[in-house]
Amino acid sequence: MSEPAPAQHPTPLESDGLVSSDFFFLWDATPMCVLLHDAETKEIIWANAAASRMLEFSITELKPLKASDMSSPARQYDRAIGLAWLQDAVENGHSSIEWHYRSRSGRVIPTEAIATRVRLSRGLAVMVQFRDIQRELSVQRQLDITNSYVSAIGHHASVNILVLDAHGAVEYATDAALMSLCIGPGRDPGRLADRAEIYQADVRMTWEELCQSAQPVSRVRLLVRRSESEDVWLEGTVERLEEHAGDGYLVVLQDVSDRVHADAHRAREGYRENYLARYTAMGDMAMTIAHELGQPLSAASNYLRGVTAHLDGVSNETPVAEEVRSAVGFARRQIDRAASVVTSVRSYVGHQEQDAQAADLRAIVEESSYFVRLRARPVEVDVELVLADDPIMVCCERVLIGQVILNLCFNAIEELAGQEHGPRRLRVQVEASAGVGVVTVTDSGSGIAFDPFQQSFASRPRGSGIGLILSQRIVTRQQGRIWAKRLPEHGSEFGFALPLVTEGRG
Amino acid sequence: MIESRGAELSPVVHIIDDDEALRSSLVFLLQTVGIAGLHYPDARSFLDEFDPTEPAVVIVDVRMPGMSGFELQEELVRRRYPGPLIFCSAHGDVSMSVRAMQHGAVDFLMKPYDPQDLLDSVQRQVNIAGPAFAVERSRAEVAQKVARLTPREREVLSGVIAGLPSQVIATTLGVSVKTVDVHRANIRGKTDVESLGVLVRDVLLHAISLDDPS
Repeated sequence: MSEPAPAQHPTPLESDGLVSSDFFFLWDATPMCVLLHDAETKEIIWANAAASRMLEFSITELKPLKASDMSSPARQYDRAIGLAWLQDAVENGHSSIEWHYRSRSGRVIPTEAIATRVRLSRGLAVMVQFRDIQRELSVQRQLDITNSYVSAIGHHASVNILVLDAHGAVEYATDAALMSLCIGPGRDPGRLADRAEIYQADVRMTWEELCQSAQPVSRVRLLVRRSESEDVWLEGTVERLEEHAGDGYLVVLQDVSDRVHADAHRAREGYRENYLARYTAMGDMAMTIAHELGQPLSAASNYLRGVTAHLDGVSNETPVAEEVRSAVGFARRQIDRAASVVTSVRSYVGHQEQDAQAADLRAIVEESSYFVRLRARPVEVDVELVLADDPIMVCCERVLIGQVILNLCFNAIEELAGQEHGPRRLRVQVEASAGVGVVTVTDSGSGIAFDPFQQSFASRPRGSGIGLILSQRIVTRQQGRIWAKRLPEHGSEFGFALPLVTEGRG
Repeated sequence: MIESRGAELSPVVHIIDDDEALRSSLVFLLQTVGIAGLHYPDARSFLDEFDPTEPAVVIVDVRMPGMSGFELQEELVRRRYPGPLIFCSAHGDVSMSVRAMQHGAVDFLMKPYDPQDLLDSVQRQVNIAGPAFAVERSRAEVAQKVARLTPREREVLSGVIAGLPSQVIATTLGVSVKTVDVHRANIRGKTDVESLGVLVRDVLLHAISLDDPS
């Protein structure tokens, strides 16, 4: 134990108007409790006012006290331990301990005590500084309890909660979150971005970009890809934690996999239905074109056949007749070629499958009405639905009949939109009558000038053409009837009727 | 109705189609083989204008505004029209043609068809149409004659057709044999036949019903 002599400090303090005795006042004034022990005997040499106050003894009373007189009776505050601690400071310069002092009135005061070896002019001494840590201890205890609550909740709650640092490393996670992220118990969760894809409004982004948007809170979606089961979708919020001085983020998530998968399923179904509708409509279109071409092709080949017969009556010797005959032959072959194309289209499309099912006409109209209103609103057309009270069950290709309704309504809206004066009203009515379910679409327009279903394809005005032909084909193929008429006052009515499904058939 | 007749006594062809170009082309085509074509834009005008006793072949489109080809077929069957029917359709399918044939159509052509097929079919039917109309004409004559008879005379005639002697007919009807003989004479007179035997043959041949037409 070779304690170096105290450095011979000049006393610069004096230049500031301080003298050595001032330090006594400083030590005596500090709220930190100070006890001064003799290094050799460990007896108390001096105590400052704070220590005297806490222990409720005057300096004179303190001086003869031993450790046992002023410490908690608990075993860990035994005098020997106290002496050993002070000795440790003597030998090593410093020593800390948590020491429970006891006041004159018997109050036990938990403290954090630091013993420091100090050379005084009278010889080696140990200065003990201590302060009441009762408050800290109770706060600590409270914290421990809170911690255990949080941890218990974290283990049992089904909600996914994560606390992450600025780099996206997971600092805390509920068990549910760990499970959702496929992190086994006891494994280092690592960075969130390594575990899941981060999305915001369907846009993939990095953790850093997400942090930018979390000012202070923002929505987030995570996709956890799994090789052996369905992917997991989590949705919730990311919040910048104030307490964390901006370095931490709280992420609260719900597992929305079921909903996302259901949405995806619906979207796929919708796509399939749409595809089916288009596919069938294309078939109908092809059949319609085949039919429309069948007429003129037949007429043309009749004429050519007739011309050939006439030419056969003309003498072969005239070179002109011979030329004309071969030209007519070529023309016939071309017509035959076109005819065979039409025939093969017909036989191909004719085998298309149909997907008829029993359906409530009212439901089909209601489904379509959304799109009808969507189209009607910008051109200020009022749409009125009049539905029968009871279901109107018909056997039909649901998607296609929906297309027919849309087609009739869109035509009416187009007609109304082009009308300068008068009300713009569209009425869609569904009712049952005499064994059929009837849908009528009436408008307040100027009324049709001719029956579009009785015109041949080529003579129809633009717009009303192929859509109505397809509608007609779709309806008649399902044993239905479609019509159009001018209303007596003003406006037109387009309608179709499908046979009702009778008991036992549907 | 546009008339374009060639030979005077050979059967004509009625063409019913809503497509004007197609009608004209058929008339032109048939002309080249010496067959007269009469054409109509729809079933109604055909029914209004055609001569049901004139030997003819009918070419009809299935789908037409107003009365459809099938409805026209039903109407002609109802009227006992003897003319053979050839259907043409651009919408046709197998089930459609089966339906047409079951109701007595002789052919079903899918547009676009080979004009030669149509000509072949028409020419086959033209040859059949003459005798068919002749049979119908004589059937109609016999039916007309039978229609002149009173209910009692019909009863007597059906007895004769059944091969019963006058005595049995008289007993069955509860009249005298003399009365039956008077009825027989009246029947012969009203129907203007050489003998009752000829009348019996004609009634049986045309399967004419002796039930009271009223």
